[in-house]
Amino acid sequence: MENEARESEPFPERKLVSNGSAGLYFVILVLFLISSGSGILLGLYYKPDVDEAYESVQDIVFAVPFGRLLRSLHYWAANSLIICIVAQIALMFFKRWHQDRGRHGWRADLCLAVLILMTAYTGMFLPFDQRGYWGTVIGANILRSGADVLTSLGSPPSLNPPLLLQGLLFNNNEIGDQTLARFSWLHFLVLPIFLGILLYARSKMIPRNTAIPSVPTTTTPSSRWPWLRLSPMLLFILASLLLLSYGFEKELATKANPQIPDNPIRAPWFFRPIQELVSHSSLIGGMILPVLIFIFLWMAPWIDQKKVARKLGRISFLSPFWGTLAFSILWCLFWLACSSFVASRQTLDSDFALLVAHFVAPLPVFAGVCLIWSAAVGFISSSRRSGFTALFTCLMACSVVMIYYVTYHRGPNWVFFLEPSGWEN
Amino acid sequence: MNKSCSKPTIVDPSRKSGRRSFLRLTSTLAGLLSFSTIGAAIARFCLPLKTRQLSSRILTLGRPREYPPGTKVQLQEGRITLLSTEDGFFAVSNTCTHLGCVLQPKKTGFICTCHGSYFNDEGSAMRGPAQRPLSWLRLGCWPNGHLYVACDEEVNTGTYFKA
Ligand code: FES
Repeated sequence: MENEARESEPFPERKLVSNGSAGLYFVILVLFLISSGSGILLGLYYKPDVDEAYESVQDIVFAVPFGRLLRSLHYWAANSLIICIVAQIALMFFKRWHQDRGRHGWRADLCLAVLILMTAYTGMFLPFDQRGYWGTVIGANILRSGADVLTSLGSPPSLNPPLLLQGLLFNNNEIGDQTLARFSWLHFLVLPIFLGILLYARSKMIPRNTAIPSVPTTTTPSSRWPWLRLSPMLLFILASLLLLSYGFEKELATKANPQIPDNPIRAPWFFRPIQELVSHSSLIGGMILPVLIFIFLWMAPWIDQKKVARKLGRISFLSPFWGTLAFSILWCLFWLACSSFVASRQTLDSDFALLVAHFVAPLPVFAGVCLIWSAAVGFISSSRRSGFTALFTCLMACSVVMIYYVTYHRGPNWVFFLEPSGWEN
Repeated sequence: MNKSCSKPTIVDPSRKSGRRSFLRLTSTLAGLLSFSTIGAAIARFCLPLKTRQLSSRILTLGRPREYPPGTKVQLQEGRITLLSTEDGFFAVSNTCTHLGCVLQPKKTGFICTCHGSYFNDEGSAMRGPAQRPLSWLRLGCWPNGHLYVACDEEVNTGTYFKA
């Protein structure tokens, strides 16, 4: 209904830039340019070599004039880029821009998100610090766990995607020179080129994807350079990023130590949901769930229809968004508490609570309950759209809860702590 | 202006002439073949070389009597632990079977700081996300009486080495 109304409206010229998606797209573009620019400059001093990488980053931070600021700028631009692409995807979904003709834009955004995350992941390894080194070791082994399952099912090494991907990205089982060479090549050139091409293609999709039927044929000077009007915004972004990098400098972590990992070692915030999932099961949390989630998002334009949901009447706590938000936060916290409880016990005793926890703790139960909830929401409101809204809300809410949980409740040896002060003494 | 010009008749070449369709088929096949060859070559280029890992590293240790029962020695920068028991010697790999972090030895057993897996001295996974036991490595004795560990050769769990 809402969509049809928008489509029948005559095309308003300002909408091209004032539309949320287009504005956010512009921010993404600017952030990409800023991180590329700062990256190019950082590359002047960086040496992609296991023995020298850390020292060269040290030089950038401590010796090169403005090096520390530039590195922080690179860091903040990249982090904001991730926030913006996630916001873009959420916006597209909740505003239903991803349906029909918007589906290309939606899929381009998904690819952008994957590419941006890969760039962040490869970039994490470059300084050769503790987090980067162990993150890379763990990443290689996550692919390994997927490969092992396929091998045990009898697939030859040449038809084993995780194994091939592991060979392609990490080059060897031992994380070292070869991995650094590939990661720096990917981070400096290959991924940014793909990102640039995709961003350009994405910019061509904006009018259609925001459910505006056609671009006006007459080009007035202002609409020919729509970005020009956004130059104040550009300055604003740059200024706020500079302020951020000045105020919150990215500190240099300790050098990688292949004998002793940090305790605890936390992934950067955007990988924390995966880190938490992986700490329950490497195969399900690291391979199966992420792949299923990506397939779900990719197929979303097909499976959810434009049918209008039936009013839920007075059961407002079941509303697809708010109800799911409340439910998924509670369920995620409850599940995490249960599994931490199980992990803290060494042997099974007859305690009833422990029995329940054992029954509830496995990862498939967690994902299954989220699925059942969404199916129930879709069924009760007799609208597929509501069901998928519930599933998407669940996904977002659980990710945020897991980020919070890893940050504040996971202490040394990955043990549950009630508050961060618990592990300091 | 001319009526016959405004509606050009489209001739489907593949249907009209056998020669053309044959040429199209063969050229498509030839193109596919050459591109897939190039693609396969590129893929093979990108995948890692395996030769480096084939050679087994052998680590020579002291004489057996230097390790009385009950000792627990870290070797290879903490990646292998040698344990001496009443039943004999054995060496366990210290790489976590969950996702490959290096384990830290405790008084009994090993703990993984990455996601909290706990292994006992024999290397069985007791707690946490790790499922498989730690692998045992082959131990041997040189003719001069020194012990050695073959760092890349696994043996069955429970094969103690008696010197
Ligand atoms: S790597 Fe040891 S528990 Fe995950």
